[in-house]
Amino acid sequence: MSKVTSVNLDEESVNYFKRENINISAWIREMMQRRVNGGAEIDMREFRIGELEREKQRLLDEIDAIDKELERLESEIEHEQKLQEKSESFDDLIEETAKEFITYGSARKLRSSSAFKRKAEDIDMSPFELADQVMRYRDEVLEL
Amino acid sequence: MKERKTFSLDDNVARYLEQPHINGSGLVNELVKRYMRDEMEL
Repeated sequence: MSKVTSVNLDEESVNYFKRENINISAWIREMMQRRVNGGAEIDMREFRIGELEREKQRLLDEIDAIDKELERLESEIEHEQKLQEKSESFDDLIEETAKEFITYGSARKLRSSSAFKRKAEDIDMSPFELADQVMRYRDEVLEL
Repeated sequence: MKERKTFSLDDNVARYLEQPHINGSGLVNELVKRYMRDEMEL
């Protein structure tokens, strides 16, 4: 009695059989029969060792990729927590002002803005002091 | 590139290849390569 089975052969192997005019099915049937009966010349353990080594390497690579992703995610969380802590160390008004005047590229430009000067006056700070804190907020929290 | 080949095998041989720890395609390709390199005979 026989059973239908299929395998994926390398192109090189198929071409060899064609070139040598060998019946692939018959060859495989014969070779495998001998292998199962213990008559073939190669040591099955050697093949299995190679297979296990490749599998081990694949798993090690997978673990390495998992470790890298874990490290990346933990580092992202840590970075966000640090930014959050820094952000909390600033008054809400500084945060609000920094975002409102985000397009002003320097402390000098901030100080030269009438709107910024009014803002400083409203919150009872000098334009120098407010610009200094806004620039620190940008640098430490917004990382601009 | 791989080419899928289907053929009939004696039951005991088919059962051997179907074992979960046996990579049937890998084993056959390995045997073919050794045969091509004259490292074994049929």
